[in-house]
Amino acid sequence: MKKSEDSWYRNPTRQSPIAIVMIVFNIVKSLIRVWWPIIILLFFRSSMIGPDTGKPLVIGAVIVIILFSIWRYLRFHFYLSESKLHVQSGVFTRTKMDIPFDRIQTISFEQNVIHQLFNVTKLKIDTAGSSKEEFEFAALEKAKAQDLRNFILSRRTNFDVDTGVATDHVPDQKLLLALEVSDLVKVGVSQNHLRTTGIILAFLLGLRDRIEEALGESYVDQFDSLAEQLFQNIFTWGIGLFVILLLASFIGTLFYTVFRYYDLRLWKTSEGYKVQAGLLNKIEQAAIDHKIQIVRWVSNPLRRIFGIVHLRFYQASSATGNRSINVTVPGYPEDKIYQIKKFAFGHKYIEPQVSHGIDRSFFWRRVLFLGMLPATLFCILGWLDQRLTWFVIGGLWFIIIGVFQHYYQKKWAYFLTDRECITSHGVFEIVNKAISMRKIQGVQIWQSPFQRRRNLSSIILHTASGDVKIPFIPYQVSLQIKNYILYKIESSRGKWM
Amino acid sequence: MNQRPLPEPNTESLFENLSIDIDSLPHAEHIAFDPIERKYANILYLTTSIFFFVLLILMVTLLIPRLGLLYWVSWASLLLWVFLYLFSMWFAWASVRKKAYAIRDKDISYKTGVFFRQWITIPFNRVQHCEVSRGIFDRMFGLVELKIFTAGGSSSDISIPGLKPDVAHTLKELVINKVDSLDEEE
Repeated sequence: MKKSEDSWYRNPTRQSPIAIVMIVFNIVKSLIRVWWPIIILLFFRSSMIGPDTGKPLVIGAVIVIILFSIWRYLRFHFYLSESKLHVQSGVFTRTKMDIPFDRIQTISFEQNVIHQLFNVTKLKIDTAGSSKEEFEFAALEKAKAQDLRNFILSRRTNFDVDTGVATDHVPDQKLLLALEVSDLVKVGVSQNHLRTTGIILAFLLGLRDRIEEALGESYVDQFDSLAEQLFQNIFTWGIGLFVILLLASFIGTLFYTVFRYYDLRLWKTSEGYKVQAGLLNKIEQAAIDHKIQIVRWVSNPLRRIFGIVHLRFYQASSATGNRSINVTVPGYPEDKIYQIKKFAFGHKYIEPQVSHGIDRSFFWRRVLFLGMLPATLFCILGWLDQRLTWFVIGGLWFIIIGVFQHYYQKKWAYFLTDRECITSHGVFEIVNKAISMRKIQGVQIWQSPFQRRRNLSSIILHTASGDVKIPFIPYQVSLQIKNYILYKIESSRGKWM
Repeated sequence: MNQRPLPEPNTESLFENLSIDIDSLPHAEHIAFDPIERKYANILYLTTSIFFFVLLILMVTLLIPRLGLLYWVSWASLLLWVFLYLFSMWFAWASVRKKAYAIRDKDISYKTGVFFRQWITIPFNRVQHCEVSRGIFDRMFGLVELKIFTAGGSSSDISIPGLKPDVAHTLKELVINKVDSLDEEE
């Protein structure tokens, strides 16, 4: 990299003019998100305001948004001093921000189609601190963005032992995974389509209410009577809708997966992992080794056929509940999970061999609450309604829940070594979580009255990014786990987040 | 928690690759727990009563005039109110007797729960910060609440209500000193 003689970032600089487009885009997006019921209303009932006032209103709004965006662009300046990033911004209220380099956690680039077209990038800066602070440049020339990142990384002083290597502009990195389109098709096909369908169904039911609110009942009644004509009884209607939605979510997920994870590459760097992916929106994410709290991988029958898992790193973050900090790698080869565990837990890692199960009463309790109770409700409904169908549904429900919970309890397993804890549960979709004991920051033992009678308890291991729970194990065993993990944490000296 | 004796499970196979005798570790189950102040029950009685009397006023002014005093639903809801109110008062009484904390050399534990018993332990080297807070009702009864925060979400934070101010401040100092001294060692 050639050192620019008069570093441009010493003087207050504006973003790339493309930023104006991005600002307009963001404003329109947030307007639509808040006002969409009213926009739909205006669209359908344009008679309410009439075309004479409608057109000037829209044109006026567009002009105001564009002028505002340009103004905001002009008011945005930034420069770098020896140890801080200075930003001035704001149209009505001017704000001045000084961000010390030491507080900056990650700097990531993101490019959508427009960015890629003009060779600019969105720059996201995540800072540490008690309050959630995230900061972004809408658009910056790519070369400038790289200059900025390199300068900030080279000036950071508070390096921990493990991040110190980041001073290198090109940290040595090893490519672990590169996904082709054919791999992405496998990933897309093997997603949980039933769950997606459920979410869409719930969304549509919610949407129906929102439309009713916005348009009045007559529209919805028309829709409903049409539906009634098409599907005379509730079952064919339900099944028909379900099949259509399942198909839609299958195709939708497939496209989403290919777009979102296009050309995915996963590298192991000296300080953690780096993931880059995306067709229209190129996203680069990093997981820092010492920040990773939980490693989770999920498989299901289709994924097992393809030999892949859905891998995710949960990272500790300054902001609570900040999900964007978790890094997802779909389509990771199942037989290479060992490699990830080896990276996460160090070279001393030994794959545990002995699996422990959970108590059988877990099954009985689940059957009681998830099987018996709803089945009884169905039967009461059937008794009130004088129809046999409800009894059939109740019986089927009970049998399905019983069989499912039988296998769920049988398959629940946890593994303990001297340094790690791994849990694995699920019947079709198997969820695995691996956690290093020194990452744990609280150990909780939980006992319901039901468990107390049987001398059982659940143990919950809290980390800075989610919990790991082992349900229904003997109370004595949870005591031993608690004692050992506390000993392990309290005698550890290393950095854990 | 449960004191019933049990046949010892096979501990050798619980952890793999273990180089330490697990029975030689400090036993968290034998620590002596300090209960919180019984006075804290008064705060719970007060807040429960306020809630239930607001409910009663709403019932008497909105529900019963519409249904009529003689309609059975009116009587049933009044009876239900009495039952729930008594139950909540009993629950407040019992829950205060279940709340207790304990400090060991390297961690702090807190137990709570009447039906669902919880016992959480946070090692001092995982504590982020610690504060003593005083609400309106706390002030009325001269009590304070000690809050101990960890990183990330709030699922593993501890807040111990019903402490005397001097006790809480001593505890806070103790925790902060432990946290600081651990930081220096690193």
